[in-house]
Amino acid sequence: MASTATTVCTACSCLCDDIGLQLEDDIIRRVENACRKGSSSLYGARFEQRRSRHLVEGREVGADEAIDRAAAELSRARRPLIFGLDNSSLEAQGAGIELARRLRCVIDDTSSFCQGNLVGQILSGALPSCTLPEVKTSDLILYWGANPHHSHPRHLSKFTIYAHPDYTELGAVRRVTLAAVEVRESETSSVCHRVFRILPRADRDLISAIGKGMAGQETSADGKRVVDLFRKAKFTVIFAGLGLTYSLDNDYLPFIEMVKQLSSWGRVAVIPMVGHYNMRGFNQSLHKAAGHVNKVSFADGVSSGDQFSFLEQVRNRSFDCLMVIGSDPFASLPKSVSSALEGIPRIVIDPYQSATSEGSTVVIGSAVTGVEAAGTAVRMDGAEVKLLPPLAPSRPGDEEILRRVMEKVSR
Amino acid sequence: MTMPASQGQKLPLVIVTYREIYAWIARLDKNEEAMFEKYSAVVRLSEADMKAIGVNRGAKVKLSNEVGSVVVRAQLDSKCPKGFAFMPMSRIPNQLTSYQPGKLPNFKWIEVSAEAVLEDVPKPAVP
Repeated sequence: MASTATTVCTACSCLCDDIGLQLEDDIIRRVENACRKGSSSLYGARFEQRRSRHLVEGREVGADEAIDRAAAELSRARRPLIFGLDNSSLEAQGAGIELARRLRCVIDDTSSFCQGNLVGQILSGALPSCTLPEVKTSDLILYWGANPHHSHPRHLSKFTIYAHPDYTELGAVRRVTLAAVEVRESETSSVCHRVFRILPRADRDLISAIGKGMAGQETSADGKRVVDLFRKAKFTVIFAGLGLTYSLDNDYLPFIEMVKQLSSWGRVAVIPMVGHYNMRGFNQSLHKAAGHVNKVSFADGVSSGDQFSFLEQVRNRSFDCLMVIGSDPFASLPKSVSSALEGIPRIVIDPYQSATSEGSTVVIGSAVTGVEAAGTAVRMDGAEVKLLPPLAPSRPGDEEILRRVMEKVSR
Repeated sequence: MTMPASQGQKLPLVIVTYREIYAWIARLDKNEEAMFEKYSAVVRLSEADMKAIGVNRGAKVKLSNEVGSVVVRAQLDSKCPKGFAFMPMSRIPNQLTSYQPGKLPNFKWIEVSAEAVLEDVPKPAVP
């Protein structure tokens, strides 16, 4: 039977809530408003060849047996580790954090080698932020180390330059400047009014040059040009991407200092260009539950530190059982790191087959959150968005799986 | 088939990875293998560095360092600074990346040597 639905796209942290679907017998026939990334995510959700089946040591089993075995592995482990949850709902993240607390184990997500620190600085108030609808009142939008055309394809049209409502009297020119700090000639930089092209790892130098320029000292030509731009702006929004994170090697202090200085000239807000659709949700959930955005150990009360980052845990082989939920560290981490995971029992909860699920002790195929399972997610600006699954679930959702595992864990 | 004129010459480069939508989409595409090779197994080089290695567009380049090596196809990026090269984030550059305690993995600063080769571009080994 044919029907229509409106859904929220979970392909990235824009969480676009205006996606139209035409359905026929629980199959998506047409997707409207979504970007290339979103439409492939929606159409691909029912591509059975890529979906995970429930497996125990490579043997196909029912969900109950896979869940029983996962609980048994976690109960047997002395030092389990839970990783992922950035592609799960807030409700599932809550269940994952509860499970980690019950197991008295370490929990971390991709944000520890992504933008968790930046989100943490925003949550702690060290960096000012704003909501995406507020961006429409800004007069300077700066993408720093980000190329939303590829990472968040509807970002410019839905939230920033092309959504900006304020035109000059002539009606042809918007009263907002679009700028980028980039190391590449990207699609985003090609539509910007101002582009500051820097060499890789030169972000710190540019920040220093801006600081000198603001203090009235002699500075570089780029430093002067950026300062001129900032000086004219009443409300600047900086969208900080992975390029900035990696160039600063996660040390945001110079950036925070720069934003603090700029705030004396006008309003400045920073929004992280979070990749996974609910990474910020994980950060906020863990911050609420444990006071830290990631890298948390519940082994002895609550503690956090670099030694609990997934990378350090793997390097030191500090765990004897790994549970990965909706993440693919084997594909996304340096091979030199992921190869250290070999030989450690692995439980993977994922809608899709992945490099990480390949060869895992237990694989539990889950529903695609947002497409088959309901829940709530946190957009890149911190706004909560209710997910509207258009399809009936073909598998249990992450939250249900985690709660069922938790019931069976003997601790 | 003749080898490039400067075959055997190794050029030091710094690889910087970037997000590429097609590498992401390929994971969910029925034709993943072909898309993977087309969109992920590439390195974008400056004209000067392509000349120095002795390759044209589409030619195969081997990137190696102490961590591993990969064979990818060369693409021209006229705005790429000399001595640097760009690659889409995927499992391919991850064969070359490393991690030092207390730092982030070097996804955006991978030191390699590049040379022209005739080897095949490998297919993805895992789903």
